[in-house]
Amino acid sequence: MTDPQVIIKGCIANDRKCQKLLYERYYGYAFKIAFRYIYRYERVADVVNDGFVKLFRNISTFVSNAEGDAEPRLLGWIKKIVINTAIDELRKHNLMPEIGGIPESIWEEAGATNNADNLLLYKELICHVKRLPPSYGAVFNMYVIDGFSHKEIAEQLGISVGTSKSNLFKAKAYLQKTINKETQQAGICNL
Amino acid sequence: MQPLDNDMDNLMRKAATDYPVKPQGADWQKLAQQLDASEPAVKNNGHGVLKKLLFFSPFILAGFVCDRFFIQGHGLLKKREWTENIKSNQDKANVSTVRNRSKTAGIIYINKKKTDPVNVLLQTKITGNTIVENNEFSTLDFPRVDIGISKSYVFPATYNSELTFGAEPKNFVPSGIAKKMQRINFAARDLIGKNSKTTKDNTIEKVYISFVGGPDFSRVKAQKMERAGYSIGILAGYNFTKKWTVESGLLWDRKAYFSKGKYFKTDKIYLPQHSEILQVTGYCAMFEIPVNLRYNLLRKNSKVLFASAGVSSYLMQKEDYNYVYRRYNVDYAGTKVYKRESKDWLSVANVSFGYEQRMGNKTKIRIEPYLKIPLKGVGIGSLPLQSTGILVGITHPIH
Repeated sequence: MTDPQVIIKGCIANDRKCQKLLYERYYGYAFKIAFRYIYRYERVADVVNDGFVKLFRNISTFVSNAEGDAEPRLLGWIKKIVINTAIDELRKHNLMPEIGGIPESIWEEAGATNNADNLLLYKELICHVKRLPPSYGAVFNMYVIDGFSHKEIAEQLGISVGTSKSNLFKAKAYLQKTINKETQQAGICNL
Repeated sequence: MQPLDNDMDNLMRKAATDYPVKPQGADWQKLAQQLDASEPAVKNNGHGVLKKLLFFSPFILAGFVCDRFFIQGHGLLKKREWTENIKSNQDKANVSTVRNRSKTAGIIYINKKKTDPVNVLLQTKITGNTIVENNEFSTLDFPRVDIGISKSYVFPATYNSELTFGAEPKNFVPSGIAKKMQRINFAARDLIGKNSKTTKDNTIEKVYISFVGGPDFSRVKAQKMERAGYSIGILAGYNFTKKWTVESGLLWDRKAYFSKGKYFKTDKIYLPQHSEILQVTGYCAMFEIPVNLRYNLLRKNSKVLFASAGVSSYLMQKEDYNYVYRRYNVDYAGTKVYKRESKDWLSVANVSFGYEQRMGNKTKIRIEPYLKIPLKGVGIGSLPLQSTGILVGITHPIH
């Protein structure tokens, strides 16, 4: 049973087998989304699991794509739910910044593949995003990566549209500064 | 210091998809326990075929009403008059059923259960065959029996007798009794035709008010239907003549509909860049102002069959859309509510057939299946919305 359409139908019918399949299949995808918002690695799993509970409770409202391709729809739906759950978690803690480093053990090893350099680059970029203050980071993630409008971001975070735009500008400036600094340091090291 | 540019944004999006984190913490058992503790998901019941049947059921019902009313319509009236005429005469009896199957030829079949002779009042003229003499029918073996003259005839009718009526008296009627024939013809017309018993109620109220309500089924461009909505409100009518009426009023409509994204215009809404709407499901509430011209097709005693046509305007009060859009090859679902964003004047054409019947002294009940055809798009997405349903109501005269 690999067809997403079949799995979704089973989930709507409250079939535990199908729900488990869906959970295991898309857990990693949901985790990556939540980890961009939630600083602490050990809290991300709880956020993801809460997201899946909400997903299974409301899956009857999932409208199947008349054109037959359910997976993109499902991915978008999972993304929306996980982001909402992550934002709720951040708001519970009043978007307070968290301290502490990100342990290296949570990263997959890039190995000696052709893609290794890219993976390292991606890891660094995401770490930079995670180090943003939560109010900046949430806006940056929602606008640049997840495609929300400033109006939607403002409603979700309980801020004004102006604040959303301002936070985005500041987030981008902060990231630019951080990346430039790293680049300069790397340049100095290479001399 | 330059802010991050579009290339950097694209790189960030790529990084967000492919960055190498270990997704630990998956615990299906724990999740299953949480699900067991909560309510199960509501099963989505699809009644696609049923909804399609419901969409056409108002017209099936209208057809049934028209069929019952029309096919036996004039014939039915004549049948009743004929039966009443027969029954009203004390000499006439023992006719169990009288059926008139033709408006023009006026053929009546009399089925008689008993073998007693039946007296039948003359109602018509001669079309041919043998003229009866001496009050006896010499054509008992024939399927057609001609009746001509002035008074009741007794004939045994142990089988189906056919009384044939013609439009003109035959020339072979002796001139000596022509006057009598004319009188009979006149009498026959009185009995059968136009000046028979007057309708119970010929008075027409000038102004009336109707309270109506009923289910509504809406769709966009023959796509699938969502759940039923409803329509409820007040109509007021002014009768120009016995036949023509103008009606208007105010209705509160709740409609539910689905549409593919290509029919939903996005010029009035905000959409993220590089996004494309795939589908929308709308749940909307609106005021409807219909203006219709009604024509009474048939009026008999306390019953009226009518047809109506006109236009309606929709004043949107709330539009609640669940939509799915695609951005950078990922699908997203969203919800958006618009309040009082759209006024669509003269946006749908109304067509309906209806039946009205008096219930008490003045009150009438009406049932009216309708079809609303879009003249232009309605709502924030300018969707061409087509609706059908039935309005059932109570009408009361004002003046």
